[in-house]
Amino acid sequence: MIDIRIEEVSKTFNGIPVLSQVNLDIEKGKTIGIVGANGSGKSVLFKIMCGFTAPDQGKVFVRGKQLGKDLDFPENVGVFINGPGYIGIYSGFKNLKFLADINRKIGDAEIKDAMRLVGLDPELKTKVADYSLGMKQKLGIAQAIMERQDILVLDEPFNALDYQTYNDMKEIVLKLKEEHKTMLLTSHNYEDLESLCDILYIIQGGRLERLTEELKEKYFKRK
Amino acid sequence: MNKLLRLEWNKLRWPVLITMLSLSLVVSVLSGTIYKSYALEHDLEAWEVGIPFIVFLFPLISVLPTGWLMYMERKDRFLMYTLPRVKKSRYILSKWMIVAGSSFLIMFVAMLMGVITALYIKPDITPIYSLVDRSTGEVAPSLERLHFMGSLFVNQPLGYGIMLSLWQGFLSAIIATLAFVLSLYVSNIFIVLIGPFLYAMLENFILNLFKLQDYKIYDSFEPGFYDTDKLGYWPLLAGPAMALLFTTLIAIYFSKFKKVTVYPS
Repeated sequence: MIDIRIEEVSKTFNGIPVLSQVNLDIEKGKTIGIVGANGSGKSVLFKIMCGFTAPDQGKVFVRGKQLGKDLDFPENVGVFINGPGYIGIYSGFKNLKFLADINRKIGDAEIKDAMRLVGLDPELKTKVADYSLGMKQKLGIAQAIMERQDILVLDEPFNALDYQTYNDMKEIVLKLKEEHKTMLLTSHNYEDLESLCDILYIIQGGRLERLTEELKEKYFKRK
Repeated sequence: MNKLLRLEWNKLRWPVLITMLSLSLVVSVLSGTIYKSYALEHDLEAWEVGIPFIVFLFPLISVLPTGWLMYMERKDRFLMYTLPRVKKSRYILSKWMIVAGSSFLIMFVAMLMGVITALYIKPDITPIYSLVDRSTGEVAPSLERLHFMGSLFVNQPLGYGIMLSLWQGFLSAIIATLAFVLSLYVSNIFIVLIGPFLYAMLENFILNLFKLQDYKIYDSFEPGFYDTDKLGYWPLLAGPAMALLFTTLIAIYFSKFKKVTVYPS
């Protein structure tokens, strides 16, 4: 069963093509990784998938419903794009509660569970503005998973983390994979994703293609 | 919508309640003390002579407790993560309703506390009349003739106080709306919080320059001795109407000409 289908999606910014006729089918329960350099269009593709940005051409279907036609934003999708978002003067728990209270699908217990899952202390009163970068990343992931969303779109979840938090984040993704979530991950380093993903793609010059051994040799391996 | 309104109120309730209580205390103290230095005809005048400083600062008081939130949500991209959960228009509408409603509440309650202090808490004043009646040659009351809505002011002072407090709350909501619109587009907290005060000062200066002082939002906020016989009631609506027009122009300028988006793109 296909959870997300991208058909011939193109996007340009100021006349510069960022995505050119991108096609992708993502099966339910699979973990897909997209590797690409900074500015290659990974985040733009994710924003299009989540309905944050409209494509210039092409269609995106989430669980069979077309974005921009059947719905504006896909339902039950956990999103983490371009880093976390928060109100700096409040604690991590309060930030998540503000988001959870929009729909009230979950209560305090589920929010605290999500925070513990990513290794954050829900009782910590520290303002998010004073969190380390790793803690903010974890808060962003907790935000994406707390409502038990079954599709997760996680853009650069390993970005700028120290080795300990990097390993923690990998553990979190593996736990989510065990729960058979449909996951999309990006990184500029394929090694971040190789052990986590069922299929790896590379985005280069606006084109998305399967990351083959040949392409790995070409772009990532030292000669 | 109720869920969203409750959520937004939860975010703002402490700054709003603290400001409301502090301002109520300040207005009550001013209304219960400053009048002693004045020769007055009526108890409610104690409120009027007590609040000029509050009137001057009202564009700041309306904005400071509420204007920061939308700025913070945009600055740290919290707003983006509301997108998968709620429609943009519903979220922004609920935020505006709470921002405007909170500013209304702060000003209405504080001003009403001043009215109550002037009428029922401070000792009654001994009226001192200054107008000389030409027919008898003796001093006589003048407020009913000279004051804005004089009959209501003298005969039903509580009614007048409630009505004017409601109006002042409404004007605060309009000024808070200006700050809210600024916070949708501007990335500078100083402009968001001080902008409406600067707008009111500038409007005051320009209208004085063109001898149109009866149309100022400050005059609308505290009409006092505004002459309705000469001018009618409509000029009192000019200040809020200009503020709303300015707010609309700001929104059009940023969204259509500067192409600034409220949500991160």
